[in-house]
Amino acid sequence: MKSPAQPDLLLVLDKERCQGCTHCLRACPTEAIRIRHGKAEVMPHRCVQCGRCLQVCPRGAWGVRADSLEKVKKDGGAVAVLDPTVFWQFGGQISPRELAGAFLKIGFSAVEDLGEALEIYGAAVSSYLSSEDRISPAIASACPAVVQLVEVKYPSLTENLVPIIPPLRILASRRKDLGREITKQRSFYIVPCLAQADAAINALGKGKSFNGAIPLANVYNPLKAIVSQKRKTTDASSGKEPLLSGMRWAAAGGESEALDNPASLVVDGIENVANVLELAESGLLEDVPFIEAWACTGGCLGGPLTVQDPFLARYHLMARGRHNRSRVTKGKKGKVSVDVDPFRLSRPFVSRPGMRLDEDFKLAMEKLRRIDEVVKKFPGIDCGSCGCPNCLALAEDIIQGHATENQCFYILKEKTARRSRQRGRRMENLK
Amino acid sequence: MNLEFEITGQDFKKAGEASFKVKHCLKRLGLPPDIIRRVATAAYEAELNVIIYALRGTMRLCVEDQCIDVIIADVGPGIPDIQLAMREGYSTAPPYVKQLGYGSGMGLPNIKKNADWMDIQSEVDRGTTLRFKVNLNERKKRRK
Repeated sequence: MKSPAQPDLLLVLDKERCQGCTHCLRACPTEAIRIRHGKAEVMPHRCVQCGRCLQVCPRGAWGVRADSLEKVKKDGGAVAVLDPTVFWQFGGQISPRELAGAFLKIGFSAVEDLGEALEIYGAAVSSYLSSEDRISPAIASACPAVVQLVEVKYPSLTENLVPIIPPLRILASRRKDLGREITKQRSFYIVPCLAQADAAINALGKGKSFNGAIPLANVYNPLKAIVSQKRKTTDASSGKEPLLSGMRWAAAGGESEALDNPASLVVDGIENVANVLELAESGLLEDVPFIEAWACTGGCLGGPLTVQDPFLARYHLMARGRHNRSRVTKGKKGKVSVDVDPFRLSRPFVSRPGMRLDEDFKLAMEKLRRIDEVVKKFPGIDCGSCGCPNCLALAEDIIQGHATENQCFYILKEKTARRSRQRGRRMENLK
Repeated sequence: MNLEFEITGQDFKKAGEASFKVKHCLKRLGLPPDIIRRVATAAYEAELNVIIYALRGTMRLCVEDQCIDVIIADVGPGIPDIQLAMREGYSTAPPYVKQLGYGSGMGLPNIKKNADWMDIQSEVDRGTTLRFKVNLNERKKRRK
């Protein structure tokens, strides 16, 4: 039985599968996970929805609360909104048209994709980067997990995030412009990761633009069945259709490729992103104009809800070349350029005090002092057996009243040894 | 509140560790982003100076009601001419340090730029004590 970890968190834990091992505990970039009573627990205020826990769990205990294909079929079809990642799940030979056809066959009534929105987004980011008021290094805000990581763990970098309306919202507002016909239809975003599902469902407002999100992995099998059937019959014609715009955003480096920006630092994988942000926070990257950062290894192709190996997927992407057909310019030559102002976020990014010890500054100081004392008792080997990711985190939990010293095996071992020595001495005295 | 972190000279692998710990503390206190950024930048530069030039040192973080006070004390060669050392681009770092990408002569000026107050005391062949403060209630405008 899966139970939601928290009302607006899409992350869920299958408690029967969870064996309380320490894989997710150690992988979490914000130390948001603890093992309590033998099961993993997540602290919602710290979770940045990167999905590392899903990726590292050896038993597949972590999952996503999302919609299923059955829901689409039951209510008589809906629009499938495709992330560029979807395209690269099926090898290099499928054409966009074939993919759309397969979606119709599995029960959707229409297909849209993010390509056009990404093209506009890229143009807006490009003009932001060449504007006077940009802050260096500008940090890409296209990956919602990276945005959340900055908000929680690197508060001093929130103003470096590129303040452009995310592609998903650009798509949503374009749908609105197209009139009632389209907005009336229910739509589901086919997502490669937890953070994008959250962006579609929570950040945009439930039901406002998307009726839900469906993990790519949930539609992969039925699509694969249709695609591989088709290949046998139409092998000659497939692969000749030009690639539609935005598809290369699925791989890390895709954004920089779309920008007019010659120099950018491309980083993927949440640990690597954290290391780079650490450098940026210490003021070492001020001569880097743009950091393109993706929470997953390889970019969205490495998302926790994808099926295809991200490196194989990227191979297909590279092999397909750069034959992008712009949809904004209707295939005409020349770059898309937009005025940045209409695409600026009205509310810029703000830091989330996820790492703060206490609202009260004085109390926080006192706690920090006590943590520094308590942590010295522990062996400093960060074994994770206590249910905290490291010794410092255990010390913090103790001071916050969520844990006790005896959770540390080493302390417990020492205490037991001491007690048995005392008992031995008492026995000798009795003789 | 008073916390102390060790720094070892020539240990470039651990460069940034002490200032990382300082940064970690400031985040735990929930201080404003711009204060964290300025202390982190200055602390990193100061830590590197110890690693590049000195034998060993300590970084002490004192959080007071009005300001963050950081004291970096080292045992090492000291600075013969502090005024000269404060000049942008002036560096006495050996070539192998420069090859590592450090010692560009921007360390001390960068600390001065980010701190609200700084002071250096140094004795040749003994060591250097650098101290800087960042005020909590006054905010410098962010440079672009």
